Formats: sequence, structure tokens, C-alpha cells
Amino acid sequence: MELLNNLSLGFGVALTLGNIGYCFIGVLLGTLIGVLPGIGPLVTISMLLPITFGMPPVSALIMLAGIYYGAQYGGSTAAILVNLPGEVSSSVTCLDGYQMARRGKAGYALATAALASVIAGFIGTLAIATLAKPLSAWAIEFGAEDYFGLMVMGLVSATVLSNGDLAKSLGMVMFGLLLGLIGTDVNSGIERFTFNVPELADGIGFSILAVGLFAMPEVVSNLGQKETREVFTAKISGVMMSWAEFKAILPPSLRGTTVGGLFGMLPGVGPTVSAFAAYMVEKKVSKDPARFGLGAVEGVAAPEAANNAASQTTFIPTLTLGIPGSATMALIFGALVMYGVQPGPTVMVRDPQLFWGVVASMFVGNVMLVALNLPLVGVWVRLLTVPYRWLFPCIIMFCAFGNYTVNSSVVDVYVCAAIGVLGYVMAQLDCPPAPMVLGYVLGPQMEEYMRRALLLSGGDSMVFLRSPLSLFFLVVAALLLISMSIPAIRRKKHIVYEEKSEAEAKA
Amino acid sequence: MKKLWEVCAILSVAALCGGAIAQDKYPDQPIRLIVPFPAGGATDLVSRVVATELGKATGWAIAPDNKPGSGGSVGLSLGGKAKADGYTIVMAQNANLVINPLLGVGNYDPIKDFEPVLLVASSPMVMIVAKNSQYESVEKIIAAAKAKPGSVRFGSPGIGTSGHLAGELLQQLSGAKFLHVPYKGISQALPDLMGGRIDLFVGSAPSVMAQIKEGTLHAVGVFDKKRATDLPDVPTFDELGYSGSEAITWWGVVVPAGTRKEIVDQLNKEINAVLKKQETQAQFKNAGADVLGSSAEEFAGLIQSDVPKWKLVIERADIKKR
Repeated sequence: MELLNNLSLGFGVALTLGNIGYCFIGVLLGTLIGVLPGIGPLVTISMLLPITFGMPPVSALIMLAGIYYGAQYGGSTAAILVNLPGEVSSSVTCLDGYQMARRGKAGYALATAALASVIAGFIGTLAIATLAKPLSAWAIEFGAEDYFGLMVMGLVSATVLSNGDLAKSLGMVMFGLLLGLIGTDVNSGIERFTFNVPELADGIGFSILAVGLFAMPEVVSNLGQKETREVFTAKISGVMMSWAEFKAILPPSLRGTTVGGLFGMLPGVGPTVSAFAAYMVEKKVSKDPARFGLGAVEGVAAPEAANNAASQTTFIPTLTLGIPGSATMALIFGALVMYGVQPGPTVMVRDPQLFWGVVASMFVGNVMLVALNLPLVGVWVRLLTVPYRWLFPCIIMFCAFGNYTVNSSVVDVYVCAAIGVLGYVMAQLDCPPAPMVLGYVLGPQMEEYMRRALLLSGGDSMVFLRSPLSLFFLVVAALLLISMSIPAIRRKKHIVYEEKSEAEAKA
Repeated sequence: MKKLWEVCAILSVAALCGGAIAQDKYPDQPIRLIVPFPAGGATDLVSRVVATELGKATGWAIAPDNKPGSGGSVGLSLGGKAKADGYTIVMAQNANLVINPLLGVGNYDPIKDFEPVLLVASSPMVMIVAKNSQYESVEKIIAAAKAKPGSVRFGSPGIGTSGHLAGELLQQLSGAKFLHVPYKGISQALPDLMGGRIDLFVGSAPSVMAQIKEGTLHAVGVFDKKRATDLPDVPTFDELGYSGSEAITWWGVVVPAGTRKEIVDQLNKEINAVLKKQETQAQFKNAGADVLGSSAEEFAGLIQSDVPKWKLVIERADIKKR
């Protein structure tokens, strides 16, 4: 009953004309930047932050939140139609979504991504509304050793999953881990691998790395190919799916929502790892795992549901505990403080209009996103069909501009350009960038948690096995690794990928 | 074409000379306020409030310019090297102006490279424990840490942060020994504190105020000479018998060394006036900062006493230079 009262209070706030407008601007911008590779919610939100100072806090937060979850929708469109993750969290969607598009099922893939996202969005929002309080208590149970175990599992699963040679993926994870070491060591305060460049003392910024690895090489290889970029505009049909098709995507969407919703609440895990994990779960429960990577619809539904659910539940620790779980959440957290709202356990009591208004706006935003993404998918795709010689200067400019604005640092732009060269070389050598990015993101945190767990246990490494949560994650990781080293399974994986490349050659 | 360039060159030289001649009327162009932290934090808020209110009061154009990195030292390095013409001013903090150079971060000298203008605001460091902690008072914490050195787990927002140094200062004054557990900022530390994986945490008052008010965390001591306005029931470490234990975060405006005294005086006068305004004070209160305001000499005195104090703490705690 209390929930109903709260939600009606929230809708009263979210459904004012002004706030509907801000919500629309947010999800529209979010979809736009989600479709366009190289500009993510992190860069967009940081660029818009100064504008929001003059706005009422609720409206500003509604808009910023819209950008954040809208980007997850837009990211999938680019992933399916051009095999290019508009958002890092959509990189899993590329695996099967693009294959579906190549087989003439682009419409079904897009509809699946949108519906799975909407299902996850609704459930995720409901989850925030009902579970915010008890779940913020659950997150407290996670100790340093449990986070360490979770991250080991995340890294191992990313490697096992990656669409390529296991040795190359492992190499990329290690490379990412090494890049992640650049910066100031938490436990001693000593700078590592910074070569006395002060701008490197805080490490290489994530958006710089993501732009350099994903956007820059894409631009260069597109220019090399003279307008041969495959965009499946003409083939988009079947956006309206049949009941049988809907029934096929419902269970994976629900499973993806569960995985994403749970992972999203853990600080530092976020949509990307959630999408990977959901894909892995789907592959495990599937009767026919060999279809994955060849256009399996479950491989689109589950990760799309997961990254959306995660991007919504990630608001739980930020708003209710005052613990931002990611760089983007940290920005939103900072914005709130600037508006005079202190996120934390008190926010639901002290600013009920803000908390419930934002929760309700997520319902509203999800409805808008369906309207924006399904009937208007042609418009978004046209963005990708704009002749590339016009588009690429804009992309490069936005990338450079965005990376400059994060820290107002020219060095960041140079670093991004250097990483772009590296990313191009890697792409030519068939080295997958996704495991590297994950290694980069998780590596430093993994190290931090491992060293903190050891510091608190007095150097006793058994601490990782004593905690049931950590033990569980480590066992899963070990099983995954063992399974990949059993010759029979490894052969099977090779066959799968050989079939996949044959299929690609034919298509 | 070549002619055109020559004309341009002459015109720009003329414009520069004009600027130099018009120097007696300060300011005749926008003033850049270097903010050494990204948009969104307390330093950014303090800077923006000062810039906006100063602009409103005087009609000057003040442009806040976020130059984050290296815990604020990137912005301070830029500020220290800027032209000393009064058109670059810096919102410095004790952490980046005084402490970073002591840790080997930043290539500037807090006393030689800057001219202090005034102290703007401050907020104290606070020691917090979880509610229902067995250590509900400073006496119990110190007694336990003395009985079994290293048994009390002390979390901080990172090596060399004001919170870490405040904790080290208390250990040096009391002779107790904690196990120091550094975090990256506060976000991961609070769940560990609430979950009982660390025993106490030292951070700035505004960063932990929400949880204290809510009752999930309990403040045991304030590192200041006077009690915190928002925490009237929490004793200061001074009251508890540890004199010389003040550890506050302060914000102050500095300009590059060599800036003319008239400009420093004018900035001091105008910003002091702005700090007395109701709007300014209300906005600072939201950020958890106490408005100060001071003469340039008072600020210089504070910097000169802070440097040797923290130098000693860092040496005795054996915190390595970077």
C-alpha cells in the first residue's frame, strides 16, 4: 500500500509537463548518443552538467537518468545493424544480433532488443521501487574478498566467451590488466607506469580508452573500405513479431533481467559485466549452445535485458546508500550534491519527491523509448547511412571534444589518438578489444579488493575460500577455465567458430 | 595575403599594448578561476558560488575552469605558472596546495610560487564508527589500539588524503597504533564500515553527514578546535586532550606569486564582501562548508604553519614520496 502511495507521489512529479519534456529530451539524447559510437552517456552527461545547474534537481536528474538508460537502447541498434557497439555494454549484442541482421532478421533482432529492454526496464524500475531498502542492506554483505571473487569470475567468463582465439583473448585480458595498472597505487600512493606525466597519475580515463579502442579503429577501417559499411536498412522488416516469436524471447529476457538486476546493484559491476554474465547464463541453459554466435535470438534478448536492468538498478546503491557504483553514477551523484540533495539513506525520507519522481520517470521514459526505437528505427538507422565522409569528421570531432571536456586536458586527446592507432592494429590482427576493456576496468579494482582482503586478514590468503560468496564465484570461474581446457570441449568451440567464419564468408 | 598577416600582427601587438597600458583599471577582461577538481564536487561548488556571487556583486566576468588531475595538483601547477596579472586565480585546498608537494606531487612550492588572497571556507575531518560499534567513543578506540596494536582497523579515503593524515596525527599524539586500510574515496569504505569489516573511518564532515544524520553511522570525534555546527554533540579531539589535533579541509583563493598588491587587496576585499552575503552562506551550508573569510596575512600564516606541521606527520608516519 505504501508502495502505491509512493508511486502515485512519484507519478505526480514525473507527469508534469515540464518533467515529461525533460524525460523526453533525456531519452532522445540517450538514444542518439547510444546509436553513435564513440559518444557515451559518461561524456554526454559530463558535457551537459553545467547546463543542469539552473534546473530544478528533480528535472535535472530525470533528464540525466534518461540519457543513461536511453543509451542502452540506442547502443543495441548500432550493434545489430553495423556490428558496432554504440555502447560498450552492447558489445555482447553484436555477437548474435549482427548475425541475425545478416540473415535478414534485422527487424526481429531490433524488436527483440527493444522488447527485452522494455521488459527489463519495467521490472528493473519495479525492483527499485520495492527492493531499494532491503537490497541496499544486502550489498553491505559484500566484503573485499567477495568482490574479488566476483571480478575473477567476470574476467574469466569474458575470456571464455570472447568471439575468437582463447590465447588471443587471454592476451588481451592481460594487456587490459597492465593498462589498468597505470596510475596511483591505492595501498602505497606510489605512481606506477606514469613516466612522470601528471595527467597519467589518475590512470587512462575509461572514456578515452573506449573511444580509442572502439570508435577510432572503426572510423579508420570504414574509410579504408570506401563506403562498404554494411547497414541493413533495406532489410528491416518483421519489426512486429508473432506470438510464437514473442514466446521465444520472453524466458531469456526474464533471465537476463534477473542477472542484470542483481549485478547492477553491486558497485563497480554495471551493465557491461551484467550483459556478459547474462549471455553466459543463456548459453549454459540452452539446449543447443552451438547456435550462439550464429544469430541466436536468446543471445540478443538476454544481454539486452541485462544491461537495461543493470543500468536501472545501479541507481539503488547511488541513491539509497550514497555509493555511486560507476563513473557515470559518480557524475550523477556529484550533480545531486551540487543541487543541494545529499544522496544516501535519508534521500527517500528527506526528498521523497525526488526519489519517487525519478523512479516514476523511468516508467515514463521506458514507454517513450519503445515509441522512439521501434517505429522510428528507420530514422536512427538513417543516421548510420549518412555518407561516411560527412559523418566521420563529426564523430572524430565529438570524440576529441568529449574527451577534452572530461578533464579539460589536451593530453587526454593525444592519449586517445595513440590508443586509436593501437586499436586499429589490434583489429587488423583479430585481437578482440572487449576482453581488454574488461581487464582494464576490472583489473585495478580486482587488485584493490585482493590487497584489501589480504590486508584485513593479516596476509592469510585462505580468506578467499572462507567466505561462501567468494568461494562460489571462484569455483564457477575455475569450472569455466577447466571446461575450456578439456580437449573435447575446446574442439567443439573451434568447430563452432569455424562454422561461424564459414557462415560469415557466405553471407 | 602576406600583407594581411602583417596587418593582423600589427593589430594584435597594438591590442596587447593597449592591454598593458590599461592595466591600472582592473579587471578589464574576464578572470579565469582555476578549479582543480572536476565538475560536481565540493571544490567545484565552492568555486562556482564564489564566481557567480562575485560576478553579481561587481559585474566582473569570472570563468570557472575545471582542471582536475593528480588530486588537484594539475590545476595548481597551471595556476603557479600562469601570468601574474590577476587574470588567473586559483581555488586551492590544503590537500593540493600544502600536502601534495610534501608527498612529491606537483612541481610547485606552496609558499614561494603563490600569493595568498583569502581563506574562503573550511570543513573539519570527522572520525566515524558504525552504529552499535563496540568502539562508541574515542577513549575505547585508543585503549583497544594500545592494548593490541594493529587490532583497530582504520579506513581512510586514500594514502596522503586529509582523512589519512588526520588519523596518523591522532596515532602520533596518542601513541596508539591502528591498522590503516586505504580506500579510493569514500564510496567503498562506507559499506565496509557498516558491515563491520573496518572499525573506524576518517573523512570530511560533509561526505559522511547524511549517514550520521540517518543514524547508520556514529561520529565520535571532530578534528577541529571548535565543535562542528552540524554536530553540536560530538566532542573535538582538542576537548578529549589531544591538543594540536586540528585537521580541517580548507579552501582559499591564491594567485601566482608576483601579482601586484593592489590586485590582491581588491580581490580580498570583494570576495570577503561576497562571503558575508546570505545567498553565499546558504549555498555553502548545502555543501557542508563553513564560510570563513580572512585577511591575506591570516591566510599566509595558516599556510606557513600547515607546511611544517604536515611535513612532520608525513615523515613520522613514513608515507613514501611519489
